[in-house]
Amino acid sequence: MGVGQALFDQIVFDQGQLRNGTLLDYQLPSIKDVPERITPIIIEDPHRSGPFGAKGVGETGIIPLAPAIGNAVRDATSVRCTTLPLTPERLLAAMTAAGRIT
Amino acid sequence: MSDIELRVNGAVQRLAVDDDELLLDVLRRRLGCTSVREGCGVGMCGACTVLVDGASISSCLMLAVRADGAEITTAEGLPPDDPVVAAFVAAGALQCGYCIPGFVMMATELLARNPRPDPHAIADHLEGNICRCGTYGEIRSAILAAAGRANG
Repeated sequence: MGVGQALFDQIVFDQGQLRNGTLLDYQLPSIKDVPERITPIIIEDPHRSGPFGAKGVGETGIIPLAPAIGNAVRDATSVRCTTLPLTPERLLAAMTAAGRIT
Repeated sequence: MSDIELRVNGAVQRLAVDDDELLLDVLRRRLGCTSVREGCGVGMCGACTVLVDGASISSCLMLAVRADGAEITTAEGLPPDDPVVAAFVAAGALQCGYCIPGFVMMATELLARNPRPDPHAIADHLEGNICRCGTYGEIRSAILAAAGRANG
């Protein structure tokens, strides 16, 4: 789900009309977009305001994925892209604006 | 209306269907095969996958009249000790489970054609099925286990 948020998920409106309301044009990650292995590393850090330091688990793992992929893109292209999803079109525009592609 | 005869999970079913009635609706609403799910209705998600004469098809795109005389297998038709289902359960290869019957039918088709697929062959075969929960890793492990390749 984090991969989808980082790379694919977007709702496109044109003059108030939803343009990609079906799975034909709203892309989701397939089995080929998700890494073969995911290794969770659990860092125990008590939450300041949670009861007994408790905090939610599960979908919080989505949050760091987009920054991690964004950092990888910056590492690869020297362009910092801060708008999600990181589509090829957006990246091309950002790289062109940064003078990386002429 | 047309009279058709389907063999669904081994049982012969004789039905009168409208000419525009989808195989998905016949299986799900009239024959009670609720493992056949409508995800997108446009053949993009694979949740409605069934085997027609052994080949996977999206039942949301197939008219019931086209299936006249065919042998249809849904997840209900798999035996209780089916190795693919057992491997999915053992691997915990689901979260909400909506897409899973489609993945199970695709895996059944894959293993019938290629009893020992590698991870690449699995990804190639399952590329058209979407799991929004993202349990692809567990699904891949389950199919490898069902193929006796638990270590890849």
